[in-house]
Amino acid sequence: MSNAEVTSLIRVENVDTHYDSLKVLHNISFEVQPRAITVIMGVSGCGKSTLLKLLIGLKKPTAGNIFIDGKNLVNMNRRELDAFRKRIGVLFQGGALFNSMTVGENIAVPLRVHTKLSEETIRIMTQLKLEMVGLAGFEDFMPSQLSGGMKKRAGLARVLAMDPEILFFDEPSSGLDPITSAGLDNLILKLKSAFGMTIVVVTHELESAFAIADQMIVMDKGEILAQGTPEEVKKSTNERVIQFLNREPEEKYSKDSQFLETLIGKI
Amino acid sequence: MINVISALGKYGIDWVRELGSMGLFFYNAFLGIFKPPRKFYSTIKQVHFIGNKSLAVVSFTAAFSGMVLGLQGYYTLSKFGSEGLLGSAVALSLIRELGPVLTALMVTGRAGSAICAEIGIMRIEEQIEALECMAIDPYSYIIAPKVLGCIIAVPLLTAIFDIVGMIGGYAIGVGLMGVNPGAFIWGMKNSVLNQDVWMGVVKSFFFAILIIWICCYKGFWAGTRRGSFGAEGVSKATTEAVVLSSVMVLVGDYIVTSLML
Amino acid sequence: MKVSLRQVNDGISVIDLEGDFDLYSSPKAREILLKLAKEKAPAVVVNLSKVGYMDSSGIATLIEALRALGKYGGKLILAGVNLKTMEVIKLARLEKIFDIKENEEQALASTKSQTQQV
Repeated sequence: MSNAEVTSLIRVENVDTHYDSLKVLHNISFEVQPRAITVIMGVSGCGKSTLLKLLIGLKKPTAGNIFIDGKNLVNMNRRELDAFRKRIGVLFQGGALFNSMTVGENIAVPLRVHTKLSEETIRIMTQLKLEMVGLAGFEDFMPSQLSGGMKKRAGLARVLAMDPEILFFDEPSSGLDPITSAGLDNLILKLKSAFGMTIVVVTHELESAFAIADQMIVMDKGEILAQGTPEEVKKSTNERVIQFLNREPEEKYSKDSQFLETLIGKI
Repeated sequence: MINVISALGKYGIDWVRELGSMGLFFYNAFLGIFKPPRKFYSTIKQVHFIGNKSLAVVSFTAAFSGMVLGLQGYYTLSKFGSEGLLGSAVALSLIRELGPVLTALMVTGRAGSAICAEIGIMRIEEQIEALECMAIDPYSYIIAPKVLGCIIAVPLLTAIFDIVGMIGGYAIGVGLMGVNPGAFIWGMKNSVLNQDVWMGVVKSFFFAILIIWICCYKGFWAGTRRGSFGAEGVSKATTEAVVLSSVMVLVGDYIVTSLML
Repeated sequence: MKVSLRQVNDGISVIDLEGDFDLYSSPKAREILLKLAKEKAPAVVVNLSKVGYMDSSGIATLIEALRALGKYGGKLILAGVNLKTMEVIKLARLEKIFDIKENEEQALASTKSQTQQV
């Protein structure tokens, strides 16, 4: 862990990507600052989940570059990609816990595979992580015995097991009630302030986004509509951004005559 | 007419693509066997899951298969006055054909479908992506132990099937139909040669690889192809896996038999 | 991470750590700490002044050592904890469990006063 002069930790440059022949991301460019929380938001289908997949190397862009600490993610070989992944943590929706193991065994998986730490050390670390996410004492529970919110916290504990520098959250609030969601937001803020983690959150929940974001990126239909601090984004004059922030549904109603025509036929 | 041709063409292309995808999967799974992490305990767990859990079904099926062989064999052989050959007939049928094939089919239904569903659920819950993001190779961590476990368990189960089947055949042939016990056993000992046992062993290994390859592959990509997402994708994948495995076992049976005769 | 052990008067052991006390280097420190506990060392000072980064595996190792030494009344003292490491300890709510001193001299001084009391 060095204190090198980093201006941005992740830099996305002119990225396009496709699913087969359908273009889902258009000319995406932005930077993720270190030790800050960047929130990528937009309506369902705007391309934010795809963008997340690109950032963690699960999908390759069809055009453009993604620089992590100066190295281009697109050109990384297996070894470099593995090294990158050991520095990051990704929390998937639902927590992605392994169903055949207890919570404690789940958290220990990366430690057992990647390190030579003793069982006792791993056990203590598991307890430390569970305490950090508010699940102390749950190490012997099976995932099926946990509620949705608890599964996410357990998944987060596993993600934190290797003390990653960069965290990615995919829709952290999905399926959570407002109180649990706020608790998770506080945890994310704590991770930034106490550990200096760089955090990227993909979400469509406005309240959470404004509660935690240092930097916001608003997307729609595969493009970035606005980016900047929450205040800057709130001041955006882009119509779709204003619609999104005010939670106004898109006008999809057709003209009266068109509508009647499809119902009854030409009059 | 053009529509029919283009539909056929699409079907053909999809089939080739699927074949290529399966080949790639086999390659990655094979490499995964030799990559870290260490798999000793997870392999043992899989041998337990596939072997132990299929034991009851295999034994039960074997007993009745052997018994039917005893009945039908006696009926057929008695037409030529060759009841004394019942022992040979039962043993050879089981060791060369019925043992490997029926064991494979039972394991496919019992363990193969369960494994496919298990991996399929992992896929739709993003557990496989989670592994990749932890720099853990899913082929090495999840698939390889299952492959090794199946290759160890299925031949052992086949051997058990053979033995239980022969006991069943003896019970019916000697106990019910009155064949001379000495003749039965002598027939068995004399007509079963090394090459017969080899054929059974080769088939059981071959079928083990086929079953685990197809079931793991279908589960691994469950819910990711167009038209079948989420839980429906897992159910579809499991059905496809069982059907394809069963068919390929029978096709493979013909191929191995003709190659080894 | 470099791990070196030296003996000071009264049988107090001082472990000097230099570098990152993390997932890959903590087993080394753990080995020495547990060996000292087995030998029933009366007090062990862990000199962290040259440790730039300590992660939760480091904390876990220290917790284990604290327990192992505590079983027979041995003392574990942390010396030279920098700000960042202190924050990590505070976040795990362990600042009350560990005996933390500014530097090695203070740490050794505190052990002397304890042995005098005995």
